[in-house]
Amino acid sequence: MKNFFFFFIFSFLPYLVFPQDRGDAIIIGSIASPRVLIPILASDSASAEVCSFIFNGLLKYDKSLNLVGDLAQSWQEEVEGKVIIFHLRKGVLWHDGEEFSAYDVEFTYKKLIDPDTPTPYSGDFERIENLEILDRYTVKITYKEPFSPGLDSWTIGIIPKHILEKEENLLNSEFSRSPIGTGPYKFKKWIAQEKIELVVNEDYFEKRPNIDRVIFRIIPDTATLFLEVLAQGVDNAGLSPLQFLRHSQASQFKKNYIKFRYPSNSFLYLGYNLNNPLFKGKKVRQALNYAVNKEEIIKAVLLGEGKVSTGPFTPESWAYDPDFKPAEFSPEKAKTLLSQAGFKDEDGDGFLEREGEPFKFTIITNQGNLERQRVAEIIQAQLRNIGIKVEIKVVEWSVFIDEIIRKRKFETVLLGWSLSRDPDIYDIFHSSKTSPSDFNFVGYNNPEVDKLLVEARKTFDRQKRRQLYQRINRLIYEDQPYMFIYIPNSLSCLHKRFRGVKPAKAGYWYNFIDWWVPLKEQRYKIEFRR
Amino acid sequence: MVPLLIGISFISFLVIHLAPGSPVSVSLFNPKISLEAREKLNKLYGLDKPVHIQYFNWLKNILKFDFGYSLVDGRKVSSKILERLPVTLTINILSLLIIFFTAIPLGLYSGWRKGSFFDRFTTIFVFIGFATPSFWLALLSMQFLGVKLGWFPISGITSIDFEYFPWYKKVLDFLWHISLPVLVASFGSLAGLSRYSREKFLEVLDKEYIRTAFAKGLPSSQIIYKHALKPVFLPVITILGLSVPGLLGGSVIFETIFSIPGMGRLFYEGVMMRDYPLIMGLLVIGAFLTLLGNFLADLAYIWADPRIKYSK
Repeated sequence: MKNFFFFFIFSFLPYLVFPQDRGDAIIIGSIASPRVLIPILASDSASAEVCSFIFNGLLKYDKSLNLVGDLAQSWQEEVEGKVIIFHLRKGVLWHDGEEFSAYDVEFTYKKLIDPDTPTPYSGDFERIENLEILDRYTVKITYKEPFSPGLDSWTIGIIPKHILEKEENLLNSEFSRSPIGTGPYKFKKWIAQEKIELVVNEDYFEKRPNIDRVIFRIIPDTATLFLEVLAQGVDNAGLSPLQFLRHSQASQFKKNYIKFRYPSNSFLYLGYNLNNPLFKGKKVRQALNYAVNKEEIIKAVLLGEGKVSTGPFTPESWAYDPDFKPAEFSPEKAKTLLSQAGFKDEDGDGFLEREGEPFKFTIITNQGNLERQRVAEIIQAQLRNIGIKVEIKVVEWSVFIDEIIRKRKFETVLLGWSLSRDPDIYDIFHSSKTSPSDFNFVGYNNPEVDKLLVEARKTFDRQKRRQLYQRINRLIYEDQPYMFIYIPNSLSCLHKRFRGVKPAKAGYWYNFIDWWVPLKEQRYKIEFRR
Repeated sequence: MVPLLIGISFISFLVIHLAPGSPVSVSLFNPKISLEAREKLNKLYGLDKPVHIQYFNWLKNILKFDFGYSLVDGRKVSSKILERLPVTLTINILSLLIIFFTAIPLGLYSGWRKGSFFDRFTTIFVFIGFATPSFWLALLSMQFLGVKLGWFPISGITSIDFEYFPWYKKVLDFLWHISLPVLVASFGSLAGLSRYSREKFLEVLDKEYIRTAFAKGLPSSQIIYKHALKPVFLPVITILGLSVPGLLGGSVIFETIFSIPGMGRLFYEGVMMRDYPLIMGLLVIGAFLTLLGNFLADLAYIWADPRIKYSK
C-alpha cells in the first residue's frame, strides 16, 4: 500500500509541482506582412505561418519530420500508391461550430483545381484523376499514376465548404481577411501592416492550447526587430548571424531569451546557363566548383552560420546523403580542368583565354539581398585568382524574373531555393521543364536523372526513394548545372518564460499547444473577450 | 485642372506598365506553380489586354471613384489607402506643426540677434539635424530612449492590448507611440524653414520702410509684429503649399524603421509587387493634392500680399 502511495505521488508529482498554467500571449515578430489568410492561396511564408495556426491539413509533419495524420486519423495506400484513402477524424468542429467532414476536403480539392482560383498549389492536385467521398468521414483519392509527392501535398490547410461555397472570388472574399478554420487558434483581428491577433480555440480537437493568444507583430526592419527583442516587445524573432553571435551578448538579451539554431530548408546556388557555349562543357563547371572556396564564403558572409551545400537536399531532409562529400577547394585542380577544356593564359595578362576569347562572365542576382551580393563579390575575387573575369549585376526582383530568368538572358544567376518537405525536385531538374516559365531555367538535361526523377515520383517506399534521390544527387553534383554553395542556418530566439518547448528535428513549433507560462511570469494578462 | 490630372494619370499608367516585370511573376516564383496557373492569373487581372485598353478601363472606373482592387490581396484599393491615411496624416501634421512652431521662431530670433551666441548655436543645431541621416538618429534614439531608458516604445503605433483600453488611454497610447517618430522627423526638417525665415527676416529688416520706422522711433515690438513679419510669411506660404501633398506621403525608410503602417510603405510595396491599381490610386491622389496645394498657396498669397492679383 505504501509503495502504491509513493507511486501515486510520484506519477502525479510533475503535475502537482508544475501545473500547466493557462493564459498569456506570445508575440511573434515578423519581417513581412501576410497577404492572404487562405491556405490554398497563400504563396508567401508569412501568410503560411499565420495559416498554420488557424487551419489543419489532412496530414502534418511530426517532430521527426514523418508524415502523420492531422485532420485524417489514418490513411492507406492501395494499388501501389495510385489510390489513397483518408479516414477523417470525427467530431472536429470549424471555429463557427459546424462539423468538419469529407465534403470540405472535396471542396478544397475542387477549389485547388478550379482555373479561376489563383493558387500556386494546383500542380500536385492536377495529377489526381478522381476524388470520391465514400462516406462522411472517408475520402478516396485516385491518382492518374502513382505519385508519391502527393501525400505531402495533403498537408495543405482544408477550407470550409459551408462558408465559401457561394463565394465567387476567394481572393476578394471577406474570408481571406477573417478566416475560419479548424486549428488551435481562431482568427480575431488583423490591422494591416501592424499586427494579427489570434485567440485560443477552446474546442480544439487535440486539446485546448495553454497559451491564450498568438499575436504577430509586423516589424519590417531587422535592426528594429532586434531592439524590440531587447525591450521584450516581441517574444520570438528571427536573427541575423551578426545578431545571433554578437548582439545577443547584451545583458537584456541573455537574461530573457534563448537562442535556436537550425539548418534552414533552403540552399544558395550559382546557376549556369547551360546553353551558353562557355558553360556547355562539364569540365568548366567542375573547375569553377573547385575554384570557389565555400567555407570561406560561409565564414565571411554568414559568420560561419551555414553548411556547404552538397546538392539539392538539405541535411534535415530524409533524402539527404550524409556520406556524400562535396568537392574540395583546389585551385590547382580547377586550373588543370580548365586547361583541358582549352583555357590558357595566351597573352600573359593574368586572365585565361580560349581561342583569343577571354574567360569572362556575369553573375546576376536580385536586389534587396545583401547576403547574395556579398557572396557574388567573394566568388568574383576567388575566380580572379585563377584568371577568370567576373562581373556582378544586381537587378530588381520583378525584372529579374521576367527579363532575366524567363528570357534566359543570363550567363550565371545567384539564387536560392527553399524546398518543400517532400524531396521531389522534378520541376527544377527534369529536362521537360525548360519552357520559358518553367523552373529548369538553367536548361539541365540528363536522361539518367530524368528517368530516376520519374521513378522516384512513383516510389512510395521511403528507403527505396531515398536511394533514388541519393543517386540523383550524385549525378547532379557530378554534372554541376548549379554550383551548390551553402545551406544557411535559420537563427531565432524565444522568450524564456515559455515552458514545455522541446526542440526536435522539425524545429520547436510543432508542440506549441503544449507550451505554457507560469502565472507569475505571464506578461499579457488582459482578459480577452471571446 | 482636370486635363492636367488626366495627363498625369495617363503618363503614370504608361510608365508603370512599361516597367519590366509583372504582378504575376513577382508573387509566383515557385516551382509548385504551373504555367497554366500563371496564364490564368494574367487573364484574371486583365493583364493580357493591350495597355491603352487597360488604361481606358481604369479611367472609366476612376470617374465613378472606383479605384479597383489590389492585385496582391484582392482588397479594395480605396480601403487600403484609407486605412493607412490617418496614421501618416497625424504624424505629418504633428511634425509640420512642430517644425513651424520651432523653426520660424528660431529663425526669426536668430535673425534679430544676428551673429550672437544664440544665432551661431541654432545654426549649428539645425544643420546637425539636417545632416544627420534620419534612420541613424531613429535607431540611436530607439536604442537609448527605448531600450536603455524605456521611456518610449520602440516601434509600432499602438500597444499590444490597445483594443482593450478606454478611449482616453487609447489616445495617450497612440501619442506615446508616435512621439519618437515625430520628434526624429521634425529634427531633420528644422534647418530649411528656420534658414528661410532667418534670411527673409534679415532682408526685410534691411528694407527702407523698416529703417524709417526705427528712425521715427516706433517701439521695436510694433515694427516687428506689424511691419516686418508679414513679408517673411511669403516664402513660408510657398513651403506650406508644397508640403500639402507631402502630408500624405511617408518616407519608406522612416516608416520601415519605426514599423509605422503608413502611406510610404504602401506605395513602396505596391511598386515592388507591381500592384498597378494601387500604384495608380496613390499617384492620382498625390497629383490631385499637389494641384490642390498649389491652388491653396495661391489663395494665401493674395491674403499675405495685396499686390498680387489674379486677373481673370
